[in-house]
Amino acid sequence: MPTDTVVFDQLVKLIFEVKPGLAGSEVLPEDSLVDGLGLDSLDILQLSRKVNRDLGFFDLDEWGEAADSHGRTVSSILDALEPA
Amino acid sequence: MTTAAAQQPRVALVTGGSRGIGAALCRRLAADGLTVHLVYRDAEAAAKEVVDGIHAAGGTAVAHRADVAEEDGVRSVTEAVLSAEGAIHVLVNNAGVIDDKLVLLTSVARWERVLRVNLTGTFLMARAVLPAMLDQGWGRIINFSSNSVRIPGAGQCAYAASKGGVEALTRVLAVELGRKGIRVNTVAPGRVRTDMTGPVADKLGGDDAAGPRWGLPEDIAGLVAFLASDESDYIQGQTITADGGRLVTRPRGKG
Repeated sequence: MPTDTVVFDQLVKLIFEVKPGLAGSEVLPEDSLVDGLGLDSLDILQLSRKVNRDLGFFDLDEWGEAADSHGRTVSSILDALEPA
Repeated sequence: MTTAAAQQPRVALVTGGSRGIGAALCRRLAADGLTVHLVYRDAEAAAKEVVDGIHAAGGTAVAHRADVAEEDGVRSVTEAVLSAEGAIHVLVNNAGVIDDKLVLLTSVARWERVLRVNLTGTFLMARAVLPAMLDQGWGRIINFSSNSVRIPGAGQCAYAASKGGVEALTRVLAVELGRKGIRVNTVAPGRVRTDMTGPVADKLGGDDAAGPRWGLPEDIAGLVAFLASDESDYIQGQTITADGGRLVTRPRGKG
């Protein structure tokens, strides 16, 4: 079972794949994917497919509907994740 | 694209691949080393002939029956290709219909059928393959338009409108997806001798020694092969006319 830190690092790697310009920069759990890291809707769609492939089941629609409560932070993806 | 992905044969999905331009470009893409999945609606024997010809030449091809105007059919064929190959690198939206009538004689049903196949079909196919192309970080979508967008003949209201829509859709896709390694362009052939243009060939005139000749399907296949390749990486959102110069040729005056 991967630790939370390992999963977080895997997620950051996927974020860098989607947004190569961020590669090497520091990403914090509380960073907003949209307002902080600059991902747009296509980036997030692409990221969600990678998350589903590599990290476990992630419901993008459900996550998007709860955006007001979680602020679309990096950690909110991990919170919404159902490990495979 | 990863090194491993670059080493596996690229996979092309070609609609309207059983006849005419579509058949020629299936043969060309297969000859270039791509695994070709062609989509046909009715012409099963012709599709089999194309596939058999590609196999005989040492290539790989599979035929699928589907109507690009139907969402379920598009989904099924896309899933079948992804299940078999795990990737779709190239989509060629070649399927199209012509149903020329003067505006006053065009029923809504005929208008909508032409737009459904030519424009909605292009949209449905593109939307279906995009998730795979996003995952790959590489893709080529080649749509088909026509000189009729710029110099329509009488009776081409539905056809010209549908192809104008395809050109606009091409630009939107290019804007949305270009930064993800996906290139979207349109080929606009001029007069090309195919089954589809046969019924309107007399309106378009014969070969004229002083003007551009009628094109052959193979004249278009080379351009599509280029747009499907890595070499076209800096071509994006364009409509490229392939008509032997017909569009830029001044009509000859009498006398």
